[in-house]
Amino acid sequence: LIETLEDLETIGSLELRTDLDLHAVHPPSKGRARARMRNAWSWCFAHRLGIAVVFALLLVNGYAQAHNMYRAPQLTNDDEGTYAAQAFAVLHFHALTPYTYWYDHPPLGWILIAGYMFFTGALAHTPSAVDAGRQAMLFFGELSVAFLYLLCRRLGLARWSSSLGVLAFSLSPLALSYHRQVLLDNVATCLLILSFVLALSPRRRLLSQAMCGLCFGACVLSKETFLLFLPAVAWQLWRCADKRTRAFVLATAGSLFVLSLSLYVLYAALKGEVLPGKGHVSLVGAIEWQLAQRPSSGSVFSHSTGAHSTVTGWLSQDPWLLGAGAALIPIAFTRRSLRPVAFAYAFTVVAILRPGYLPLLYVIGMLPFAALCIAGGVDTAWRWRPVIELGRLLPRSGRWRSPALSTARLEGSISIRLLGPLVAALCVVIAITGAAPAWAKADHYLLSANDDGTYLQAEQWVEAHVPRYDRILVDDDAWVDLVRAGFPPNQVVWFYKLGTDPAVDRRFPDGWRDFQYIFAAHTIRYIHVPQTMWTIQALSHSKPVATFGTGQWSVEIMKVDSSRPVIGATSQKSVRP
Amino acid sequence: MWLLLLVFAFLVLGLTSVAGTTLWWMLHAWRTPETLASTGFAAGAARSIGPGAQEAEIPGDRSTRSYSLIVPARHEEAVLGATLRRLAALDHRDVELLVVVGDDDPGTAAVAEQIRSERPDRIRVLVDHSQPKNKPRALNTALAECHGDVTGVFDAEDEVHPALLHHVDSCFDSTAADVVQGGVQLMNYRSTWWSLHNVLEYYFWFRSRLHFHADRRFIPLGGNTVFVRTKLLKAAGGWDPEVLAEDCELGVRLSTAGARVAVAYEAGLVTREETPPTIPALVKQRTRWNQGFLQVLHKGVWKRLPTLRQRALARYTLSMPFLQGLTGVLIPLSIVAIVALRMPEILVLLSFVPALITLLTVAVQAAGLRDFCHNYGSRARFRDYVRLVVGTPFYLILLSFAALRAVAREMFGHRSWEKTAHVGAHRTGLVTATEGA
Repeated sequence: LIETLEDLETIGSLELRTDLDLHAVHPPSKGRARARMRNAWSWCFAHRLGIAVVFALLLVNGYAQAHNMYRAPQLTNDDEGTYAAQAFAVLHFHALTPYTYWYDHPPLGWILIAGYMFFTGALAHTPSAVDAGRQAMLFFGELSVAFLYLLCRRLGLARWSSSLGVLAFSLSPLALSYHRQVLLDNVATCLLILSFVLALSPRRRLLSQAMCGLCFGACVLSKETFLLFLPAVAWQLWRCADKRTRAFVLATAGSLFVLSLSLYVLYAALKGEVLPGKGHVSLVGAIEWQLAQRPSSGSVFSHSTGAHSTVTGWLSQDPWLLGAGAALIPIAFTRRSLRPVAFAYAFTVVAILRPGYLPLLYVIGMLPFAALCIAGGVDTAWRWRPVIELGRLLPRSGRWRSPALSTARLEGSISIRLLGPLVAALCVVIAITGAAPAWAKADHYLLSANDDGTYLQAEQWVEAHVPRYDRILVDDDAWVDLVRAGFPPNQVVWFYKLGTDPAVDRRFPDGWRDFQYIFAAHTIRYIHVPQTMWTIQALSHSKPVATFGTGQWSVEIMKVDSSRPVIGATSQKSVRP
Repeated sequence: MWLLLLVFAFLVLGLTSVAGTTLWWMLHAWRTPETLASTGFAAGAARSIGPGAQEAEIPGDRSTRSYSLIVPARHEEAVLGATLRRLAALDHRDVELLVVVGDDDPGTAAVAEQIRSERPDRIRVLVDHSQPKNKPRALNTALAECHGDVTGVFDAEDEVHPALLHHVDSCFDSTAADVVQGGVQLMNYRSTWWSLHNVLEYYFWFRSRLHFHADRRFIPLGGNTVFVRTKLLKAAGGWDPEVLAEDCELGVRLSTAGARVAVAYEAGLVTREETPPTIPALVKQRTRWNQGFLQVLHKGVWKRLPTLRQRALARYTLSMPFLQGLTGVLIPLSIVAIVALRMPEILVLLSFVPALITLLTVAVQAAGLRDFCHNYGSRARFRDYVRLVVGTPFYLILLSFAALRAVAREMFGHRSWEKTAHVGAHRTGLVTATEGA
């Protein structure tokens, strides 16, 4: 056995040897798996307080978001149903949408929702498909909370201020009502926070920072409006990358971002749908529509514009989260590490002021950054220890300089150490006295109201009373549920597609006359745009056979007059729309 | 149809993992800033490199080790003289240079003799009578005559840093290694379109990838600036004269024996070389290495590596020429398949993943080019980046061709040594620029 190189025998003539064994000289390290286990355990032990805090925050957010989430908030328009239906289409039709996909939004968001539904079987356990989607939102919401806490900590905030920010993020009624809804923005927000977390790798790992690019790509592929955060993410990444490895970090993260987006373009290219053309949808056409053809929401500052009512709508739900966040931006900016996230919030606030279309859901991406500004601002104020040097206040020379003033007693400094903590405490007190009662009231509503009950009753009525071969115009919130109840997917038609999707029109050449029923909830009754002409005509030729609830949120089941009997409808059962 | 799809999926997966692992190992040294700092020579020594370093804090001449440096030379009249003068001037207490020339090469022998007469205390000229002539035989001829504690190898065209041995010395001290592999760097990245790619290959190989192999304790060594404890080298029997990549073979044999290898790359200390002067020369050189790798693979010494992970890595690394050749064939095939099979979009998208990783690799190479130029006191121009991007597919074709050629030659049993000519392109331009800096 060779234990040192000295033990090697010296041979006179060279002879190739393949049986040397020096393993005793350099013994391989043993028990690596066990050491890893030990490391994991000691990591958990070292972070036990943080883990406990995250666990508590998850419980709070989980309760706030999950309790009563199938009944509130109100199904205001059928966006929630649309994404639930598209996730359903991914799972059951292996297609991106139940109807022709026209590049309105990139698909990753509802693919991820579909992934959640696939792994949990949520569709089978919930009263409606939208509720399965809301369960997925709970999942992404919990992830967002954990990531946001981690992000606060990686930005150097204390545990208490991080928790404060996270609580603001999960308990603000504005945030809570949006977080519950099945929206792509919630998925994108989760991925956006994760991208910041990945950029802020404590050991500045290349892999983590490269993944930041991929994650942000996924974020934009979930909701294209999040491209707005590109400058902030890029700044954060630049700041966090070490000078020696920065070129590689930026090259990998940047190309992963671009390449992930290029997959989307490639998808369109494979279908021959990049450029606009006759008879097909196109990626460029959809982008053009989003950017140029959507009507401008006008200025936020003039009354009676869309933008004004959108912003006042947010603020009426909760002025505190957005307002306090904005107020604390300057304080957050004084701290170097917080600048990219403070910039992200400032940038999105300023972007509201630009002319152009302001989506209602725009606010969702702002919420975590408002919370970060609150956490960061309060934390920074708390650590502020101003010291005023008296000597500087007094004239150093000149005839007013009294010899008595230059004594050592006054050359010192006055410490006003408590000013910072006082400011921070003041902020917290104002928040508690001002925000807490309003939040408690609004959150209580979300935790106890039953806004969506009538909708579910209407669905159940249709399932019980309408023959499966009848054709129904519905909004998207009901679509999946009726299909799952046994209506053939091509006979339950999302009203918006009648007259806009050529593939649908081909199947119903007589327009509204081909339908027997209308599931007329709020969306169908109140949306009056030229595209929904058929639906409007159908409504005017029909009368209610059952009504659920009262007022604007009531649901009416309408029977269409002068419809011809349907022949051979059941034979199309298995065909997807 | 299903079988076709399955084969296709398998191909895509294979291509993805080849491209992915290659990229990830390329980036090994840059995983974290700390890793990068640890890939140099000893941390203290790193600071002492550069202008005026000799006076500063280079470890004094207290080395207890003696060095025997072998310089095999064959038809190298043009470059050998300068190389030997530089090596003879190495700043170390106890160095002997063993120049090996063939008995059929009077020109090179004359140059060697002339330099020997300048420094008879340091240089010895040995004549290699073995047949057929190749590098491992020349090295073995010299090894029998080596008296130093450590044997090093340099090529006839190498530009060696005067203080290199001090750093190698401290590396032996601090790591208790049996083998120290120093950095080798091609320099003339602006000579031709392919030299840029070749330079970057070296950069990523020595700067990063070899560190990965050293960590995993399986390493195909480089052909020069490699230092082995003489006792170990003699006990192992020197170099295998039958293998075309004698450096790789030695590395694999020593790894299998359990030797510890330290790799150190420091921009100021690397041994500078030049790219092959013509494309055929490049292809020949690459064919020889690839064939050497395949020979080592067939020889199977690596099968005695202790862990499964090491054996898997060895099999994978050594069959890289084969995989590379396969890739060259498969990519056109997969394009045909995409067009011909009319597959669902999602599968087609997946099949683009290897191509996307290749694009990512190009971006990483661009970052590497920037880093390389930065480290060597130059600045990459826009033109260089364009050349990098545009040249990539053609360079990949060259590599695939060389890989296929190696596989074919190995199959048909052509094992002659195709030697690379040297003209000294690395001794102009950038080198003088950095030395002046």
